[in-house]
Amino acid sequence: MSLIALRNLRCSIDDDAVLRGVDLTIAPGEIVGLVGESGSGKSMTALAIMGLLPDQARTTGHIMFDGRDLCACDEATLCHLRGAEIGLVFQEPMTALNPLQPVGEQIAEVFMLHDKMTHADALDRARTLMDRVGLKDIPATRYPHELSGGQRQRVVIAMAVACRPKLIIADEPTSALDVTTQAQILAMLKELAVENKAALLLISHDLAIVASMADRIAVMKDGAIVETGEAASFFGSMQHPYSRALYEASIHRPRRAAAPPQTPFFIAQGCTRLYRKARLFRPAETLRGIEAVSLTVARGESVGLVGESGSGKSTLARALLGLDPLHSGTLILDGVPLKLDQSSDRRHLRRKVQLVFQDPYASFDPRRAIGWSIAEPLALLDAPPSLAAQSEMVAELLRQVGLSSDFATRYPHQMSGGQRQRAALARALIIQPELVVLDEPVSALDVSVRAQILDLLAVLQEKTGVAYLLITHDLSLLRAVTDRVFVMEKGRIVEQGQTDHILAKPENAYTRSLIAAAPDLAAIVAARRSA
Amino acid sequence: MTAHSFSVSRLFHHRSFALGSAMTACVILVALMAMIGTPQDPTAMDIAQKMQGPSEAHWLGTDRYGRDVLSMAMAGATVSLAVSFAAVAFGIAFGVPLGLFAAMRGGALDEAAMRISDFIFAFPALITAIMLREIFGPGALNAMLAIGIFNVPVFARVTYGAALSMQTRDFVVAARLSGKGETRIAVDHILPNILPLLIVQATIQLSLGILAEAALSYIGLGVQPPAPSWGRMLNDAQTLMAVAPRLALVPGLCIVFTVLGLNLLGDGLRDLLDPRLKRRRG
Repeated sequence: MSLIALRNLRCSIDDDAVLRGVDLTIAPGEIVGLVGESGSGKSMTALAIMGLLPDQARTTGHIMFDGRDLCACDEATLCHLRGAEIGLVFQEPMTALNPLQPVGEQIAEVFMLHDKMTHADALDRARTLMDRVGLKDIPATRYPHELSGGQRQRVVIAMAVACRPKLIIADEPTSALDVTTQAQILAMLKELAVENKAALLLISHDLAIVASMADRIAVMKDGAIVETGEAASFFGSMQHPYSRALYEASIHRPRRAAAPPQTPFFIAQGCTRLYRKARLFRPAETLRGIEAVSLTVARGESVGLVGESGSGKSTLARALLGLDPLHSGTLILDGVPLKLDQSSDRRHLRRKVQLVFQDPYASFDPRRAIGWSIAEPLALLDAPPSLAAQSEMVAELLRQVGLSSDFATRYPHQMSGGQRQRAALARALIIQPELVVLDEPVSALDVSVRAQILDLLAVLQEKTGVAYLLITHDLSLLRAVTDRVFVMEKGRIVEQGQTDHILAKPENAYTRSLIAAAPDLAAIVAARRSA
Repeated sequence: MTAHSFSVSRLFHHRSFALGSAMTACVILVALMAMIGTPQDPTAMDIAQKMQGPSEAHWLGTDRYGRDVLSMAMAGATVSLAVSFAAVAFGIAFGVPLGLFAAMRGGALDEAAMRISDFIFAFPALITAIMLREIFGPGALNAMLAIGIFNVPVFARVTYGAALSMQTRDFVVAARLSGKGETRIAVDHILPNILPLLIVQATIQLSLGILAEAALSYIGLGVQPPAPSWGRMLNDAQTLMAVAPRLALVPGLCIVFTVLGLNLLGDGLRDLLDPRLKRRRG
């Protein structure tokens, strides 16, 4: 007897079919992982179960939950079911919480609504629940903005499980969190589900997370579930070509030759950048962005810079590109120290060092054609080539990054995320820099696109001999594409060395915790198969 | 997909945009026609024909000096639009560069520029107009200047806020990494991206300008006799409200029609040019 059964669930919004016949059953207490790329309909499925689809959505089919058809229920019944019988954990905990109410009150509200408790009793229960979800040291009177991202997600989870629902839906519960926090949150979510005998529908784009958590895996594509199977044997017996492609792309490592050792051409020495927080009646407070950071990059080399949010990765990147001034330390390019307060030296730096942004949607001017944007760095040359020569260069680069030359006249909104990231690479390479800083270059991309971009990065490096400084939180990415790695914590570099060596034998405690927390799909699959 | 890919036919599916642009086009057409000529001379008095109701010779009748009301209203449209267009142009010419400069430079100059604009903001158009009259004497040009000065901080504020939010966008950082200076970045990236906001603000300021011009002329600080203007027509008509309400209704409705049209147009443009509001249909 299943707890919930979706039968031929179809849904369209403004004549766009978002769900095209979803069939899915979840048994009581079962953990089902739903994976798919963006736009596959994962979140829409969750919203359909909760009855929270947008007003203009037209739905057909059945959602049988505990003997009732949710599609036929009125809003009042659904209101009772939400929270009491079905708990929901959102992706972004900050927007899921009311910023103007203490977190204890928000948890207590769930009890008051569904269990008809008095305020004092509800607050008591909220306190107990907060202790249970690992918030022992946090007073219930704290506001959401006073908590970290992981703590906030614990509050959201506490609210979701407060009434011991039979089903918990978690939609990308950890994709806004750091990797060490992610591991803790996932472990706690599983524990709570088992403890409350609740079923868990875990929605994620990350196969590794689903593989490590779920009893059963369902793969979704274009609004339908293409394959489901027991998690332990799923990856060995995948039938559908899309599931296989997804798996292949997830464990993909581009073929690349290790860079031969060379003397470094780009050296950052003792870089420190402080942030001052001005106070009216107290001395200014100094916050350290980065402190005494030194790193080197050699020609044709791939260097990784890894750390969690707030570790100073982005501050360092901006400093290395001369976007923010350093308070102490120097950048040395080809043996010559740069004076970054002089614009001629900044131009020289940027001719040699370029950047690819994390978000391919934000990094192009929406009102300029892609070709125009790609040609923009040519302004760095002392004698910019003629317009005809420029468009020839743009066409050649578009070809190199695997786009046809007619993309030059397209606008950013007419391109997919992957195509934009290819164009971003073209823009970074047009003045033939010696180092390209890649700031989380694939974290905003779907897994299959990610694999293509990684291949492209390897090919371009082989062809042009450019060096990469890859800034990321993703250890599997580091392993796949870098020769050396720097580990950053709290504005300092705590460990550095050959990537393989560091990942195999980390010496620093922080590095070890990072490695332990990072889900590694190949290892998880191997472990589950043998279990 | 996005707001940038709209087609002309889609534009006119937006009801308030369609209605607002049609009304505004009407007023502009009438103002242009009046520049070529009006049915009668709007300043010619004919005491024998005074206070007549609508007739074949005078479609909207005559006022107490026997002037043709239709011709006066048409000529008034030209004056109103000319003054408020010029005032908006003045506001844009000074306000936009000021706002851009403050946003791009930052620091002490930024503070200074924005405090100056706050200072101007503190003077309502009416006070400025009285001040200008004391210095230069009354006239349409001074009305235009007074409204124009009032427009400067408005455009400076809008430009400053929008440009500041553009500053941290990735594509602006990319332009900076391409070695472009602040001026190039302002021209290449910031201005094209904040243009929709400025267009919307301009339509709002145009309608405010029409109102301000009417108000200034009404109290005698704007257009001087014998030149026709909606505000002066209202002033002339107020003692005759009981006898001939038509004399006040004609310029009043002209003002309402024009301001309503511009406001609807501004609302429509705001919806159509703002990607965040693209799903809404008025």
